[in-house]
Amino acid sequence: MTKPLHLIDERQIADAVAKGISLIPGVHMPNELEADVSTVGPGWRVWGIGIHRVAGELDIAIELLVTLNKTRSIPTISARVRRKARAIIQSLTTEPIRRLNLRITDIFIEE
Amino acid sequence: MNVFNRLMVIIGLLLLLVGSSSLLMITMGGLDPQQWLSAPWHEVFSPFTQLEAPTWWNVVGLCLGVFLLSLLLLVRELTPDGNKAKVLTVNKNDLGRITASLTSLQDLVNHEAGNIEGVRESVTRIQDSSRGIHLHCRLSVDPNANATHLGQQVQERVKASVEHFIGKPVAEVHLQTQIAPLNQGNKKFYPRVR
Repeated sequence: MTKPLHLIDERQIADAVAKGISLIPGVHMPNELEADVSTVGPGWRVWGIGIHRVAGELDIAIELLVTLNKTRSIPTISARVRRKARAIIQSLTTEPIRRLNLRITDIFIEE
Repeated sequence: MNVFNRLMVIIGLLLLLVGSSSLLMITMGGLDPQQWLSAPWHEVFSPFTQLEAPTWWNVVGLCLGVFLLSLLLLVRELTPDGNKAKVLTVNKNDLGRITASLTSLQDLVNHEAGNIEGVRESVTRIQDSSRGIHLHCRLSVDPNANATHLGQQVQERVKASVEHFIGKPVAEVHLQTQIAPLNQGNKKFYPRVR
């Protein structure tokens, strides 16, 4: 028997992911002037996160501004963001994630 | 904008183009509504063939304005966005793609090079290949600095920083040094340090 999918609103996913990954040290979500993608609904918009459903799977695009230092690089931050985003999404829905693309729009150096 | 919205915009702009050009042709006498349009519509458009001077100019001006604006927007909509290509793929696998803005990476390299004593300014171009990242740096250096020593220092530091921060191998670092200030046009540099 096929397991029923728990479909939830894109807003819940976008809000939860944006909030969750902002807590990672060195990660900042872009504002409306810095973001190229967003998730939009009637009367709301989450900047920096794009969510599409393709053939029953989720396609997620996340834009980030990162602050790097001696211990923090793009691969380490990206791995943390991906892990966190996946965990958040999987706690909200049983829908499979097809792709999770990250785009770093700006880089800052912490000295 | 998703594909559906984009398609709607393109269809809308095409309709505006056809509408404004048809009205322009009717007003200018190039198209006879009685010949081209069916029963109720030719009655709507026929008055446009008999317009007097000031109204005629207003209609022609308005149609031309709408036509040119629609054409401009349509060309803009159909032209591929150059910004999309201005990213470097840091990693790509089944899970998805990680990209970084080329401008911010170039600023990162300039920041690292600029931290070396003797380097006054730096402008960098980044290229990606199967062998790794290729950095092309133009440096404005202190006249008292030893160019050979300074060049080697910049190459080592920039290579190490890029490999650490981006996690991709640097295939080569090309340097071009000069004593005169670099001509950077009106480019603004934003602080890279937090």
